[in-house]
Amino acid sequence: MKASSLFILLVFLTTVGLFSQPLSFGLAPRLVAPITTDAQVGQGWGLEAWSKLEIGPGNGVKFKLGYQQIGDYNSAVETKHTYVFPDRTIIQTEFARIKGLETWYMDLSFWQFTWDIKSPWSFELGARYSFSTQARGRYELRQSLSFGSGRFSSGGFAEEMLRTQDFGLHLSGAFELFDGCLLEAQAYQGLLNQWKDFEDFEGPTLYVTTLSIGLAFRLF
Amino acid sequence: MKNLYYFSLAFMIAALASNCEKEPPLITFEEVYVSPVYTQFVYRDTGQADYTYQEYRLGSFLNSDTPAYQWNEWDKITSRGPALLVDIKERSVWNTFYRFGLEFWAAPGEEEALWSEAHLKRMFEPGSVFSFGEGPGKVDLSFAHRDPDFFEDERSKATFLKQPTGRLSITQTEDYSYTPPGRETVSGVLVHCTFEGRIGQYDRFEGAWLDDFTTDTALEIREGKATFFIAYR
Repeated sequence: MKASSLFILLVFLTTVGLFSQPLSFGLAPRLVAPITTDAQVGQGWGLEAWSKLEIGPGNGVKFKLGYQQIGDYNSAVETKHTYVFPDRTIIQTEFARIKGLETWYMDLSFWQFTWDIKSPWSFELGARYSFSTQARGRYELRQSLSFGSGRFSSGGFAEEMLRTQDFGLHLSGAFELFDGCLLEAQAYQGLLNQWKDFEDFEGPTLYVTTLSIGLAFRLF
Repeated sequence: MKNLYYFSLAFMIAALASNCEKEPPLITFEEVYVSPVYTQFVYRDTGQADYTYQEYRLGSFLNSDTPAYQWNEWDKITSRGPALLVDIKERSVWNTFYRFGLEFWAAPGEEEALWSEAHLKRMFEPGSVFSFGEGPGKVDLSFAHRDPDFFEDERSKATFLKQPTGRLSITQTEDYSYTPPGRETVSGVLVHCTFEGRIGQYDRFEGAWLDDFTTDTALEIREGKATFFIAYR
């Protein structure tokens, strides 16, 4: 729902912009390589719709709305709480392992040609807000009550363990292959740990770091 | 603008370097919480020269090979008036054995709602004393000191004696609550007490299961200390 609203906003801005400033609109599929903990390189992909507005000669701003899936993470936590109350003993075990992340994001960046307006090279510096982040991986919650009072377990990643938002910075370089098509390379660093904070101990960390490469096609 | 690019580039390199740090593939955390209830005393059987030490401590099974003990408390109406019971049972997957218990009768003339916070704090006010026996203002102490052979409940009781002797003194009370995961908080009072006296010994061949059973054979109990929990009604 959020994503569709943002898409409408993007189209609206594009439409309004058409009558005021030089503006273009396009799509950019990407191959994404997340740098997981221990310097392993994972796999992923993304797709973004972009809108580019020229402010001055050779520079401007770019707004993007994208979706991304990244994988090959291996970050896990297991907690075991034993509660011995006067009339019952409860053992609660929670296990969660993040293998991948999928997220929507909005991106606002400043772009500029490197040397002059005729150069095929350009740079881009921007900030990204990720939302509706979901984890792929194993999740288990087991609670056993002593003395035959029952036991249950559940599957599905608990929202309580995952931060569903992120904020980060990215730096991109682009080369115009031909009119209307750019080859882009980007490095992104998220600033928020995607695991939520644990109250009683220092839990695992997963900061999103990605390198990506893609083609940006100008549609109009 | 160029400075900003250089700064961003440096930031990205630093971020990539930080992601090269090792982290265990699984981080584990374990925590144990045990409510502070227990009972301990020494007892002497008829003909014994020495006292035997006995202790029931909640959660002791976590660190030793002692059985798991469970504290239960409930109230009931008896022929001598409303009573509050606290008992300790040894629990295993297959069996339950009664081990120790206290049965308190409310003193008459108390205005507060029965077993409410105000009533329990008044009833167990530090310094108050409950004599062993049956009826308002008294306590019946029971203890199953032998493993049962034929019956599940072979408790010896203070009220088995024709003339019960002994007393239980309240030394301290404190508010206490606990919250089982996913359930509502249970609020009540922790009662600290000391006790000593004589209790009538169970006799499986003389009809100890009958209501009017009495005996002169006693177990002596000394140096008793306990902390038990009563939930507010």
